[in-house]
Amino acid sequence: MKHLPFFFRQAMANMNRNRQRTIFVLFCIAVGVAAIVSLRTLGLMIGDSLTQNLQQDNRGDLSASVPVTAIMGVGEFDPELINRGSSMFISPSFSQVGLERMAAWADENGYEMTVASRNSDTDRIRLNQNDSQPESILAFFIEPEKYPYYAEITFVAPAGGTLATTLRGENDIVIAERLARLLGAEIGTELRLVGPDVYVVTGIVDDGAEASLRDLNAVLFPYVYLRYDMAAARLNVQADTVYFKLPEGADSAAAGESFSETFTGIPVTTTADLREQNESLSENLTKLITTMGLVSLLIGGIGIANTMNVVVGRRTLEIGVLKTVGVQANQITLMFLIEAALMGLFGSILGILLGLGMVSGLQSVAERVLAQQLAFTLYPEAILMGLITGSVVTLVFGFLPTIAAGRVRPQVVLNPTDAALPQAGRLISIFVVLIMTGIIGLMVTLIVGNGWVGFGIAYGALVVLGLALLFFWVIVIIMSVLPSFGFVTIRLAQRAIGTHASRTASTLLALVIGMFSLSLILLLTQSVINVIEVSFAQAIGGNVLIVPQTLADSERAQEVLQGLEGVNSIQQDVVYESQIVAINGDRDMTRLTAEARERALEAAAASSRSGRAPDSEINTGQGRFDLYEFQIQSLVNPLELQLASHPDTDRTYNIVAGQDITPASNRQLLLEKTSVVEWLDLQPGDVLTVQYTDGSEMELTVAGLWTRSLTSGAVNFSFGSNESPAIISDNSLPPGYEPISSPIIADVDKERVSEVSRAFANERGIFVLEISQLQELTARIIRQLTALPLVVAVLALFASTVIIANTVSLATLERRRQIGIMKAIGLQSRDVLRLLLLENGLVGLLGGVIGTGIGAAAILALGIVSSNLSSFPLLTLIGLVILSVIISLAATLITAYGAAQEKPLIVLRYE
Amino acid sequence: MSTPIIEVRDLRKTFKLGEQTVHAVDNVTFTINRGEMVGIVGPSGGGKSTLLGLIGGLDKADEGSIVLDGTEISTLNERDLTTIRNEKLGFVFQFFNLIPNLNALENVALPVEFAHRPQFKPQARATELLTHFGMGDRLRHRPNQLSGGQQQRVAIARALANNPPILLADEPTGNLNTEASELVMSTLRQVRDDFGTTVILVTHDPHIASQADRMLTLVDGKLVRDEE
Repeated sequence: MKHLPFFFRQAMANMNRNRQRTIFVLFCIAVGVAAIVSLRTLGLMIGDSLTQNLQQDNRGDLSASVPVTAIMGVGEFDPELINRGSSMFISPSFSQVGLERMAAWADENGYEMTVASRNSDTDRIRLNQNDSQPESILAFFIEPEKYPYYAEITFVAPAGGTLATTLRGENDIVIAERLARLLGAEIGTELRLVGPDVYVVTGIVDDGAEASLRDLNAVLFPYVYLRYDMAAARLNVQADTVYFKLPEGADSAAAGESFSETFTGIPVTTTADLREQNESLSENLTKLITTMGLVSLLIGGIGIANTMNVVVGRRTLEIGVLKTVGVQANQITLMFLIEAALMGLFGSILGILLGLGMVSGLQSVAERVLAQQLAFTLYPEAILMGLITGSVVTLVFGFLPTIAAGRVRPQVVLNPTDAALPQAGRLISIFVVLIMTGIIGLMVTLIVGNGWVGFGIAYGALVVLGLALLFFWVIVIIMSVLPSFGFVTIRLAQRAIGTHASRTASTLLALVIGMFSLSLILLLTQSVINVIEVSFAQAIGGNVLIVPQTLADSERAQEVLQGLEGVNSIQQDVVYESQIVAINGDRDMTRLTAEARERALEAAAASSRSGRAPDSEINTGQGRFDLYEFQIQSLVNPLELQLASHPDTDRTYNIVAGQDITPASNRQLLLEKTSVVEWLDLQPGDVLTVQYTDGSEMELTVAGLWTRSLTSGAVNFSFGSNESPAIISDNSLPPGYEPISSPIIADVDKERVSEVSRAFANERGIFVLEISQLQELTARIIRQLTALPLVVAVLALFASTVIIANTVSLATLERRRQIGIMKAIGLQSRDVLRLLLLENGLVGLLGGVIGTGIGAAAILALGIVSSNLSSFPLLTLIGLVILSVIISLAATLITAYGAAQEKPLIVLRYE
Repeated sequence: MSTPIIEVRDLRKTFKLGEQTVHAVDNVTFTINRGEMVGIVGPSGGGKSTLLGLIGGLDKADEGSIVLDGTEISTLNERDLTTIRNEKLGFVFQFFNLIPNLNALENVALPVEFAHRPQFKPQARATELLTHFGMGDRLRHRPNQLSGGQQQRVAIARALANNPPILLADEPTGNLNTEASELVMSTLRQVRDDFGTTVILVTHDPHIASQADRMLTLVDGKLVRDEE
């Protein structure tokens, strides 16, 4: 140990002497550490923002909302409390009775209560300024004097504004900043919801005001605030959420229990529930994010291993000299270990600084993705983690070469031209790799908090990486012996690649990991967007969707459309609603549906391999409901009907049992042959007693069962009508019966689409949706959701770029003499540069093809584009491969340009 | 055989070694005729290798002129110098400097493949030269599978690949035993006799130098003796 100061001096001097190489190593380490530090910090920031301010997040001590399953009539709530809503255009809400009873309960206990509507339909309410493109929005109808009970909504304008001061009149509207940006609106701008009423912007709030991980809608859509008391009347909106404020010191958990007892089946969230949910959410999120950071560090580790190998390899002569003067093998190992440790330390410190710098960038992405304000904080935990991980990983990856260094034979000094680095010895290598993997496993364990998972990940990764390396090694060897078609530069590049097959393989591995993660996310995003576009086009058969509310509105809409130019075709689906109240005279629907559920379970058990029925209970986060019951109820109640006489009634069906009907048939119906029909054991000849919404009943005979002859894409979009399972003869409806929905699909010349929307702008009760807008919206939402993983993938790719630059610079450093010889025998600088570019371009091409290939295979395996291969984003794929080549070429250009300028005089010097 | 192929006039090259200025080549003038075999000798640090580097266009002179086969090279840029090296010069080094990942045949073929005005077929030319120097049975061997003497003969074949008028050798026997040295020297004489190539070799070994037609002695950068 008395030589320690000497080793330190030696290590520092070495790093200083090989400055370019040292910088690359530090950069390799720093990129990985930066990823860890920044992502961990981000995770902790998100966690903090989730677990602090719970009352603010909950908007009260208690919040209760209409159960999501209410629309299907499923759940154990008192039906008196809830308006079930119907079809996709009217969402469920609390009934007047329900709201009164809740107010009474609050009064009794001395709680304050405010009501709001959060989930009224987003398609129905859009903003329309100066006939510009309408935006789909989310409207919150609130009581500004009370809402929210805790904290204040942050106003962007006017400064210090509150909902109470800005939302005073019935035409006042407060909008989120994002919407203001989209529309170019400011305070005083006049906006229009669908219909003729004009609203004036009186305030602009921060995007994070409503959005939280609990309300993803508010994360995805821009939103507005309106007064509940006035909008309710005008837009026919009913409250679907209530908030309670408890007196100081009251037990919110007990209040929650009391609420649940009083109002069975109505989901209620207390601050304690929220804490529990958010804590587990934030914990998982932080783990996920940190593990993603580890991937970057892993890529960095490959670079470190490569570098240490060259660091030692280039100095075999020096090591030989040290040995001839009597330095022991273990002392030499120690010397290089100290150098590795110092580089790990400096690299980690650099990485921490870089990482903290990156947090601000990641923060803005995360804030946009989560629509959540995050507060930047320095977390010692994240910094320490980066420091330890960086140093340990550097030592781990640098350890093998340092052992090899100790094994250099002193004879090399006698023949300096073949001073090759010896192997470290197979047994020792295996032993060291296992130990070092154990250390990494320990670190993962500390992060994930589970030893099995931690060590499993580490050793699993070791096996996977080992196999991958072997695979790439084979590929590299194959590539190096492929015919060069007489091109001498190609042959030289092949030879260079083949000579350092294992290093090329590890570079390839780094590139493949980076390209794979990027391609997976980009291809996934693009595939989903493509599939949705194709499915929209197939499913809808037009480019404008017009939804009238009543039959009268429907007639008016048809009239307006007749008067417009450029309308090529109009289709209208008219859907009526009813409910099955008896089958073959048996009115005990509760028993009948229970029996059907039993049959469903039996059928599931018969088809499952284990012979047992799978768990059909689903946890929605707002209570559990049964999947089969849900399916059965969605046929029985509501039963959607379509007239056989309607010109657009889908005539592509096949009758598979019984016979077809005509519009003139007497009170007959055709049912789609679904599993629910089988479970209910419905056959031709059965008589269904249906009840209409006006209360009247009618007996309809099942004439036949049908199946669809046309199958559309993998994703089906129901607009309430296309999918009606029952087709009825014309006299099966009570006289004057109103349809529940009658959407019109028009195919309009592209350049006239906005004219059509404008024509309906002043019509109350008719809303227009441009399909392209819907596509844009979905694409926007998908991109927003994938922004965070995309950033991580870009980080991983960035790390790979650094590795490539590092490998190229190492390779050229090693070959300085070789480049000198080539120039001495007459190769121009550009010949040398071309050679290096070709060599690494090949690696880039291979990495790109393999990385994106695996990504593409994964997308195909997931079956997203299975039904429609033309939706596969081929252009994105090609772009990614080109990107990979460009990255390699750029990394080569930066590092190899100088090397290509090497003076040929070097061949006369011997170092 | 009396046409001059190398004309060196008033050549100077100085290095800074710390505070000290070293005159590596100091006002040197001489002429070498086509087909001559010239040895440059002198003590270590006498400027032999520097002079060779200057003649070979590997380094730039501070003053003076060098005319190679009618071309003034001291004013040429790096690009044109590379062309000159490719067409008019062949190099042989002390440590052979073969490219390790190419075999003997490929090493020799390399200058032909990158020839600026190709006059041979690479494979055929390399085979012919290697066979000529008795290496016909070692064509596919990598450098590390060859002895020092064999490596040096591959290096000589590579130097002659484009049939240059001038061959420059820097301590070609410096790293070889006596037997191999003799073999390499006879190979160099063979080069001069069979191809009419002008051979210039730098050595500190008087015995080796004595096998040349003419001997130039450099001491402290100055040409102190020029004898037949």
